[in-house]
Amino acid sequence: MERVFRSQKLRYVHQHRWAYLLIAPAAVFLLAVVGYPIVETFRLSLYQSQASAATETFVGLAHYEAILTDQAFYDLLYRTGKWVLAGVLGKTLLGLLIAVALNADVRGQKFFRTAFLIPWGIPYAISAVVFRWIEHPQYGALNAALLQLGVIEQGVGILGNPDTALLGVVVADIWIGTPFMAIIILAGLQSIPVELYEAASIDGADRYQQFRYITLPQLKGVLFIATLLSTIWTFVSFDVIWTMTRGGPLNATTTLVIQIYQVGLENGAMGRGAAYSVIGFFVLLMFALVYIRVYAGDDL
Amino acid sequence: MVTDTNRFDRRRLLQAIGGGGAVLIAGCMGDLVGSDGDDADIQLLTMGVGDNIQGFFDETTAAFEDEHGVSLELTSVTWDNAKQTVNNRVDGDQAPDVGRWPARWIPQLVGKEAIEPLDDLMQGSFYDKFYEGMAEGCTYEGSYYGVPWAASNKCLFYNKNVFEAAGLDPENPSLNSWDEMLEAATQITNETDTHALGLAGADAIETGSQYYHYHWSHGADLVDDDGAPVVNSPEGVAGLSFYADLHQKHGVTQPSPLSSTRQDIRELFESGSLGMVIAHAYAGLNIQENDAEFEFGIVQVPEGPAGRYSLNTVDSLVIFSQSEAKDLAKDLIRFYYDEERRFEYSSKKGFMPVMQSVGERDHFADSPVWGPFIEAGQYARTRPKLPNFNEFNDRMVLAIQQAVGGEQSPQAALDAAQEDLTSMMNTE
Amino acid sequence: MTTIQDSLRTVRVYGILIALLGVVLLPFYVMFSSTLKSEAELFRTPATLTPDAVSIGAYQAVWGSTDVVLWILNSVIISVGTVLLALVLAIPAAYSCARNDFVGKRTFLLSVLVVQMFAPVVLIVGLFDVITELGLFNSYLAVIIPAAAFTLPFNIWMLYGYFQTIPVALEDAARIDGATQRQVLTKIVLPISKPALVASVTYTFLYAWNRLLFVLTFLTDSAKYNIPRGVFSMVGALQTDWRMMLTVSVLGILPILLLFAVLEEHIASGMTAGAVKQ
Repeated sequence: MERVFRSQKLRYVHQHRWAYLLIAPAAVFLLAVVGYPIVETFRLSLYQSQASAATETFVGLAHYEAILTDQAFYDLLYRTGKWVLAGVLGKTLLGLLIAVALNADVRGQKFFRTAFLIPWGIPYAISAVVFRWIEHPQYGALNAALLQLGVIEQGVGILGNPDTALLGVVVADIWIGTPFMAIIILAGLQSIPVELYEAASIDGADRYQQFRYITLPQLKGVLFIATLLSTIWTFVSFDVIWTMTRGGPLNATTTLVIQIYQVGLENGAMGRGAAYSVIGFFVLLMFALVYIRVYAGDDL
Repeated sequence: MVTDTNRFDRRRLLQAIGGGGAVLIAGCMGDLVGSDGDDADIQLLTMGVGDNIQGFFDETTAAFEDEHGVSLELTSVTWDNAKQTVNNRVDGDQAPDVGRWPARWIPQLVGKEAIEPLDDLMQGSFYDKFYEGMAEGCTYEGSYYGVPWAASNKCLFYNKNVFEAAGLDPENPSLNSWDEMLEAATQITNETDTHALGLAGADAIETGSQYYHYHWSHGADLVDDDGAPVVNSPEGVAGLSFYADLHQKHGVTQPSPLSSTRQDIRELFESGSLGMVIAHAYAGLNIQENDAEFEFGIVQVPEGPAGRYSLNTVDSLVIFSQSEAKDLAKDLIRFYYDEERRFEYSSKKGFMPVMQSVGERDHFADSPVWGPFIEAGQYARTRPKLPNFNEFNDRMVLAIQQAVGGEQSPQAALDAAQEDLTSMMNTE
Repeated sequence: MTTIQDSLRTVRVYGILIALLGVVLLPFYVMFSSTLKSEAELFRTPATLTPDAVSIGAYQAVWGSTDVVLWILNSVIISVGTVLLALVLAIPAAYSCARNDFVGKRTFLLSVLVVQMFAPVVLIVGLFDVITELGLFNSYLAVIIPAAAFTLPFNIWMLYGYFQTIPVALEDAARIDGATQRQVLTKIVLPISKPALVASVTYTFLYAWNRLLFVLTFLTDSAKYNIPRGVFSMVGALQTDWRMMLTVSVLGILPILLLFAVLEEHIASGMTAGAVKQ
């Protein structure tokens, strides 16, 4: 029965064969489905390609050099950062607020929980269409409401003003992403043992103190994974901005992903688009590594 | 160092990475859901089939299938995704057999060797069906690559009720030149609550299309005969200055033009909330169909110091090189150019007829909407056929936005655009 | 005394809930009320906040002249398929990581996240080759497989977090009773994890439900369109029928509401645990 292995490595693998066998399907599947597209993205980033030619020219790191030495790239990154920060912060805070309210033990909980999820059930591109509509300077409900209230005298175009357009798209993104946050945080809230609160109130902690010293620390794990994923998702999100503004006006809402789409797919410079994509990947990877390290240390 | 990377290499890479996984997945699941097995004999890809034309395609598809004993699969994608979808499918060896494709995008697919020359089809009595200009619009490097499918051009629409309210003559308005148009717009702005003029300024392809009328009629061009950009000529600056001043200086446009696409301003006009707009014939058809509560008139696009132009667009049907049913594809194309079918398509869809015999029918010749558009044929001008026109246009739209938004002077905006476009054309 | 305080608190909670719900549902209200307006009213400036005359014409038109039922059916097929595939792959992987310490675990978990760090719009070009190579173009699997791949990161991390919270002692007890490893997983671990599984199901189901890109790129057969693809088939070259688009979208929510209502009990408590402990 006892088998003899020639090397330490093989013996290790054999001892842990179940562990490896169980992750194998997922690993092989991911490799087969997205492994090639990812490697192809890296490969393309070293080539100059055009929409109108079947040939590609090897250019080495020329795309990276051109991008990283251009001030416009840092503006792009800064704008992307604003978009992600505002979006994730908005979704998390609003989600937290909703979750706390939903966690209260009141009648009709079931109704409220279902109703709050509605935005999640609408295709993103449609939600974006609706928000573009709401913010429309002429047919928009927002303008109509402001006009009736006498706040403004004629329609304002939130998405037509480079100073406000980013806000206009962030609002839509927050609306779409909040239900996920609310639900996952609500779940976290419900897993906090009631005894903790009971002990705290015996010690005379008020509501705010309970929230600050029990709820938030207990939510740390939930918030960690939710904000990590939400950051990644917001960073690479495309539908909302593209549907609402196409990155305009005056590039005010052009994030990295919008730029990638315009350069690589619309204008056919796939090589350059791929280089942007790889740079974006490394930015996200660094963020994730730092974030995980800060949260979990080595104890992943 | 030039490397020809053909499909084979990429496939090898794919197989190397996907390795057993790909085979495994294909093995386990490929059989569960039929895919390649039930493919249609011929695929037609088109764009923007709205409900007004769905019936036409349902009927013609059935008729063609009956006539030839084959199955025809019709796919409609939105214009937003058209270019990406077609290029993805070409790159992935899944090109349709026949596709609708704007004539100005033909160079891009020819460069990729993705579509077939159609010189043998475009001759004799078949060729004679088309307006010559439209057929010529489908040529590139001396060959026909497409058969004209649909065409459109522009006229200036005005709202007669708004004109009357402003004290302007609704029946014979003086809108011959840009200056006269501005005069009327100023009067409308002063005398009524209606926004006088629709101005496109959003980040969208069509913002360029709307603006080029002003650019060309001031005597400017986009590229010279050698294909080099010449957008910042004094004439070009004059054109963009006039365009931007409509909003910046004269304030005769709808508010917030930077958020308005061409579709937005057309819809505004169709709902009666706008005095004037440059639009396609179908704006008029839409208004008629919706029983709007106002009267409208159509005149030619105003003329500038250097003439009058009406932006002309031709879409064509192309046959993809990957097609394994090229003969059937040609049959399909011939099938669609039956006069009755073309008449039904053009009249329902609101595009200019591409066949002379259709255009000469009373439906078009005597129509108050179509009349001015047929007449506008003499002012037709197309955008330059550049392989990277999309990128070119994107850069122009940015300059237009800078000027209309007041961020930069028209001169500075076009100078910067000229510089970027020059380096763009040199590197590609 | 307490009862007064309690009822005051209840009132406050309802106030907050209703106010929040109002804010959250306002855009949905705009969407819904637009479907009840006439075409002309939709384009009125300034917009009307309530429909002047309620018209269900758009619903009749959608019911009569579009394949909305087919689209909903296809959405269900795609979503269910994605859920099954994603969970079959995620459960063993997450369980393995939760119960074992082995070389490469950290790399595996990180690599899983990497999948999401490239925008799908970019990867689609390479993905197209994969789909064609597998011979799946124009089949449901062409949509299900990428959707499953992109939902694996959340599913694996979520279940990994949950499985860690299950006491090993429970499993050991079963093993002493002679249960095989597979029985431990199916009879002990999974039933306890029902809440977490429900969370994963909800997320994955909705991800696939809302996805336009894959259907747009990999399906040409209109008989396999899902709801978003169906909605966007109404964007015409000359005119876009906004009312019809919004109406189909509203109808598309109904099955989801049904799903929410059924799963509601589990949703909240399900998400609970997941990320509780890393």
